[in-house]
Amino acid sequence: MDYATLKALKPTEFSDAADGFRRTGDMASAAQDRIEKQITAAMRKPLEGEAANAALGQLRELAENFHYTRVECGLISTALDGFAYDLEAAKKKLDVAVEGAQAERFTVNSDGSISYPPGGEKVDGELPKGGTVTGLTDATASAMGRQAANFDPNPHHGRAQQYADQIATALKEATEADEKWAPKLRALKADDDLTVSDRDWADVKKDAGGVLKVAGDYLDSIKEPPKDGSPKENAEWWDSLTAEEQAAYVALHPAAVGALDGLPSDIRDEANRAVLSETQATYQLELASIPQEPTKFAPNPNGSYPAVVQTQAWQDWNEKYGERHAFLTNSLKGMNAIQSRFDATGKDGLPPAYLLGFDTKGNGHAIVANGNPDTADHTAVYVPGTKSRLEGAGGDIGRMQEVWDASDQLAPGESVSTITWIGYDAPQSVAPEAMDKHWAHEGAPKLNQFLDGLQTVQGGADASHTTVIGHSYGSTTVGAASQQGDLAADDIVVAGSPGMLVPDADDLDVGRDHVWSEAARDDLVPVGGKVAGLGGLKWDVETWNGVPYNVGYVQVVPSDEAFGAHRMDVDTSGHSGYWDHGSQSLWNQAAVVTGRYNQVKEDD
Amino acid sequence: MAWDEWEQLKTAAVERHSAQMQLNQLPADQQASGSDGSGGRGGPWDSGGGSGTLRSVKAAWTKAGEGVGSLRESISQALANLEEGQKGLGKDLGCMTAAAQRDVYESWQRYVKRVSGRCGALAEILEKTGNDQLKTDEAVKAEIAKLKTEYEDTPALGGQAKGR
Repeated sequence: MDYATLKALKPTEFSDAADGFRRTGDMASAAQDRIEKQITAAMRKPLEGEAANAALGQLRELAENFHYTRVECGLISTALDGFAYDLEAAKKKLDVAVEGAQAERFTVNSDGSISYPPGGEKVDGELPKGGTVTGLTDATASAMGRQAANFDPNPHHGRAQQYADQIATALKEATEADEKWAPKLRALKADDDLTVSDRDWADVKKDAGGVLKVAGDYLDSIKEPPKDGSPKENAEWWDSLTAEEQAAYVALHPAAVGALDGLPSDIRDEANRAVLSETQATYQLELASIPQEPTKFAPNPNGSYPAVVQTQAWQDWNEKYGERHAFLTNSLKGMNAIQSRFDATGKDGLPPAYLLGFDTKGNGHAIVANGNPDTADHTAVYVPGTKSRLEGAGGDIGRMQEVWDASDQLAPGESVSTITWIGYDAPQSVAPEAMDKHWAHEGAPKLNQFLDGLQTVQGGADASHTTVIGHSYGSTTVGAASQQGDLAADDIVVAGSPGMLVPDADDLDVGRDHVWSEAARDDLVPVGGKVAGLGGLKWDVETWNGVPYNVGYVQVVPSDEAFGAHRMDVDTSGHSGYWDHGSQSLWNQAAVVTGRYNQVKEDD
Repeated sequence: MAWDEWEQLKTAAVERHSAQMQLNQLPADQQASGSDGSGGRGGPWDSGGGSGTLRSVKAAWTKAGEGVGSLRESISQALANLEEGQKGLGKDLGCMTAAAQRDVYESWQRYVKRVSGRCGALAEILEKTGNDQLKTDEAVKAEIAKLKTEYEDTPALGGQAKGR
């Protein structure tokens, strides 16, 4: 970049362009919301059939156009702000050098060279001549230039050389900024068709990475989020940013923003959904690139025992691709379930969904809310148990849809948000993993942080009536959370609990009267939990038909009378029936969630 | 709404329905009345869940069309904002990023305009379904199929047109 160009460039023109893109992104965001949360939602109840489905399909695609536009505009505006930032820095250097030179009565020429007048002590009766110097940025050339200046009896020479070098440095930085930003920006050109394909989302992800790579200086100028901050600190950090800075963070660090407890739910949803779309697309493309799984079994060529053996082709395939194939398939199952939930808004009155957490690390995690918790009168957070992972999100999301539906019926006119929280690493087997307490102890702080985060955005402990629902080992995690901190909840419901690590409902932060247990007669988990030692210990006398047979510390779990919790009626069977549509088990949970305690049907 | 108003609507709908063309290719006697919400064999005016009157079903289509159509206004506003942000960047500034920005701007102007067109086309189909101009599932699906071909993926160009 030459002097004349840099002199004429105005960084504000680039930030103005960034504003234009940002506003376009905002429009796209609002349009996407209108389609998903209002237009399609309003169509689902009254309309049915092939025509309606075709129309809804088109609306889904239109929403994708807006989603894509929103994410890309976020990247473009951030790139332009980033370039403006770098350009501004170079221009400042330039201006300082030019002002300095001009203050010393040097002339800054149109090519950036500097002309200095005669000056210094007369030599042989003559004033040392003036001259013109050009800036040098190369270290060696620069040193040589300074040396030459030192030999000149005209002191202006050295000064002029300094200014010229500063100008050259400014030009070099501006050129570097221009060269690094141009290709990253150019990559953000719009697609030339209106189908947002997997390839398109994968490109968005790649292009975002490209912008992130060169945005270092710009990002460094923005205050970082607090490391391991509390929800309150995270909220304060977010509020301290300008709109441009917030947009930059969502564009370049969507996963981090989406995971920050304390931030508004619609921001987390926006960030996480970008990650969801990009991840779905890249995983689908990767899966498509893996060769098809060969037939696994073939008749044993070497006799009749065993009758079939694994084919060599399959073994080779499995060694090379097996693990990755399983990971991609399972992750996609969960992601598709989440996407289905978004597509189902409006069906049977389902409210809009919010993706408050999402990642594919470890077993994969997801936090999906039915209805915005930030403004809900009643909030429920469901902690699932053993074998919970991203892959199974569909079923767990479905359960909270049922709770939402029942709660909505019990509390007309009041807003309810039910949240599926697959936010911890759950044990993946009943035995041996679920017999171990460490999952609960490690998951507990995450649950506490999440609940604190909700409390923060809702505006305090009294803002929303909150119920935590723990199923199976999830209830153990709730118990651990209660032990470790102050559970930010008003009521605790547990279903099929193997134990909550404490012996009495009073030991949980909500108070004994606010602990509600469900356990089906044929649910074997509570007993199994005692065997595994997940309950609390109470000194007790165990009797059989009135005859005492054991005195000592015994395991107490929430379904025991001794625990002191409300024991709600259960008309479903087994360990997983508690959310069966229309069941008393479900209604009881909804009654607690909506604070209609007198509608709970319980023993005694 | 008041019960008698409801009854009036129902009666009016039944009368209208029995005089109307079939909603799909089935003979009229096999088709359950859409107005009492018992759910016909399907058709754009079939009420989901058996709960709506024929009028409310058609109103739903029309409302959806109006909703999608109204998006075009926000889009024009956004395009105006986008253009305003370009002031000062139109001329050749001698800098690569500015040239890249120009290309990016023009590509998004095109894209957003096309999305606006898509909104308009879809709104028209939705409204036509709501006001009797499209009467069968097949008719609606055919119109939608026409839309789809216009917006299909062009993978051959999609990646490269971005000019990395």
